[in-house]
Order: sequence, then structure tokens, then C-alpha cells
Amino acid sequence: MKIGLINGSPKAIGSTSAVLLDELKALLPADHDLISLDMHHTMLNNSQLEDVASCDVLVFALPMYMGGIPSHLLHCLIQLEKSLTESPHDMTVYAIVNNGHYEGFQNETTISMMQNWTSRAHLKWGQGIGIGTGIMIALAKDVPMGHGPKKNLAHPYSTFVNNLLDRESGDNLYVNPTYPRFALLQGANHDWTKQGKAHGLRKKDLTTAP
Amino acid sequence: MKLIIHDLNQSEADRLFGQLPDDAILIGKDQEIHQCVGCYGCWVETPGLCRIKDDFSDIGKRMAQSDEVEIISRCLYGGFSPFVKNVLDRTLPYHQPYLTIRDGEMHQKDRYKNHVNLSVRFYGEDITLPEKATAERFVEYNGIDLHAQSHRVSFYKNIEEMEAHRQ
Repeated sequence: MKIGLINGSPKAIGSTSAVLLDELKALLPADHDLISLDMHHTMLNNSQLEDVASCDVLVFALPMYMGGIPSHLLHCLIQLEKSLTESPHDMTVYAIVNNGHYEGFQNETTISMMQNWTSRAHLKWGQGIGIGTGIMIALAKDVPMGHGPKKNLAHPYSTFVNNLLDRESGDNLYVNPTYPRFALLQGANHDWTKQGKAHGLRKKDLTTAP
Repeated sequence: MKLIIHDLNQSEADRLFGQLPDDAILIGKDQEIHQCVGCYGCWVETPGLCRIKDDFSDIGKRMAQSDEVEIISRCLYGGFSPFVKNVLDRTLPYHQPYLTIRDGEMHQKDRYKNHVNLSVRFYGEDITLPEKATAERFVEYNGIDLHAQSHRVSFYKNIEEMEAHRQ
């Protein structure tokens, strides 16, 4: 089976989507043909369109931007829809969506848009996973799945992988971080102040209203 | 002030908007825009202003001067068209980096004191029922995320139908 792993983040380096795809790759048996496709910009070339068309399964990993799909990826999806509907494809689509807020469910509308794209492209929808505060997973690259920040991810990822390998569909899954919301909010706010300081800004500078 | 963000071509825009009030600002595809790259520079380097140098570096400020935001977009997969979504993606500096709990969910704190009235008009000849349902939830989400005073969503087959409803 040929599986296309699509990184739909606008960040070419250091994206949470890349880490979430790496975590998935680690759970996939070695006898499958995996191809990695980067969709960081608005235009796809012919080789990318051909690579996508050759897959049996597509897994999109993307960040939720303002409740939806980042704009550059919408351009890519329009091109893919056009290319894939030119001839029939027996392909199943999965999506891993992460956001910077706590609740995994905040990715629901973005996953739903990916589902709607799947219908427009005449493909089969598999499943989506919405992950809250995805950066916690990205910062814990070396922590084994099922431990620390990845504790809540282990079971949904296992269900997701089983469905993907059987090309089955399942209910969309939503994952909150392992840590309590209040603690995470305080930690994140502290981190923003720290990042501002690194640029010579005080806390009140970050709240300025130009 | 009223901010109108749309993805219409010039003749459609002229037909739909006609004479605009002095305090209305139109944002359309004729303006240069680059994609948000999630660098967070608008939060921790130049707070409130996007670091990308194009027509949208001060979009957060323009939102803050508005009491009404009207969005007119082709409905694409239950969301906005790429141009309109690009504009929305670039409104990140409208928010602070700091997090708070709003309507039971985590969101960014307000940078500005205004609370816009958000109205979204989707158009498309063949919008499916699932797309319509997604679009309604999407606009509701935008309303919460932007801390809008109110949000409204409506659907039209084409610009002519929208024009008839605007009169």
C-alpha cells in the first residue's frame, strides 16, 4: 500500500505537523511504501500532483488557522481536486489537525472542511484527529508514545493507524493535552513573556495596541 | 467604520457595493497579500503589526477601527476562498499572544477594546448541505475567536441573488 504523508504547514522547518507525521510513521509497519510530500506554498508542481495521484492513502497533517485550513493549503487542495477528479481514484483520506489552544475539538471545523474536500475530490473519507496544543507533542520529540505529553495521544493514534492500515473509516477523534488547562494556560503565557524578552520587549509591550 | 473583505472581481464589486459610505473600507483581491507563515513576529517582535511587508501588515489595526466586518466569499469546502482566508489568517496581530478562557474554550486575549459585528455572506451555485453546516459552525467559531459582539451567516447562489438581498 502506498501512503502519502502530506505536511500542510506553511512552515518548511520546525512545524508541529512534521513531528505529528513522524510520530505516525513510527507506528506504521515497514512493508508499506511511504512518500513524504511538503505543501508549504500555494502552488503544486506536476511531480507533486503525480505523487499524490499514485497513493492509496493520503494523510494530511496541518495546523488549524483561525478555525480553518491555512490559505496556502486551500490553493493546493483546489489544484488537487481538479487533478484527482480528472480520472477516478480509489483513495482514502485521513487528517491530523493541531491547534495552539487547549481543546482538540477546536479543530472540528477544519477536519470537517477536509472531509468536504474529500467529497469534492470523489475520494473516501477515513478519519480525522484534532489535537489541542500540538506544540506540547512537538516539544516532546524524544518522549515515548503513551508517556508525558503524549499520554493522551497513544490510544487515538493507535485507533487511527489501525483504521488507516485497513483503509477503514472511523469517527473523528479529539485529543486534549495531558496537563490541566489552567496549568497549560499559565505556562504558555509565561513562555510568551519570555519570547518577548528575547526580543527586548517587556510584558506590557506585548499587549500594546498600535 | 465598516470593513468589507471580499473576493469579487472588479465589476461584481462595483455592482454590489455601488456608492459606499465614507467610513467603509473595501479589501479585495487587487491588494498584495502574502501568506501567514506562523512566525508569531506580530506577537513577540512587533506587537500588533505583521512583519510581512505588504498591504496587510496593519490589518489588525484596521480591524480594531471597525465596528462592523462584512465578509463576502465563495464557499469553499465549508470555509472561505483562499484570498479571504488569507486575509483572516493575517489578522493574528489583532489578538494578543496571551491566552484566556472564552465561552468555555481557550482563545487569545483581546488586544483592542472593540467588539465587531461580524456578518458573512457565502456564495456558490452548488454549496452542499454538509458544506453549509460546516460554514455555519466555522463562522460561529470566528465570532468567538474574534470576540465579536454578534455574528451572522447567509448563503446565496450568486452575486445577483446577494445584490437583490442587499437592496
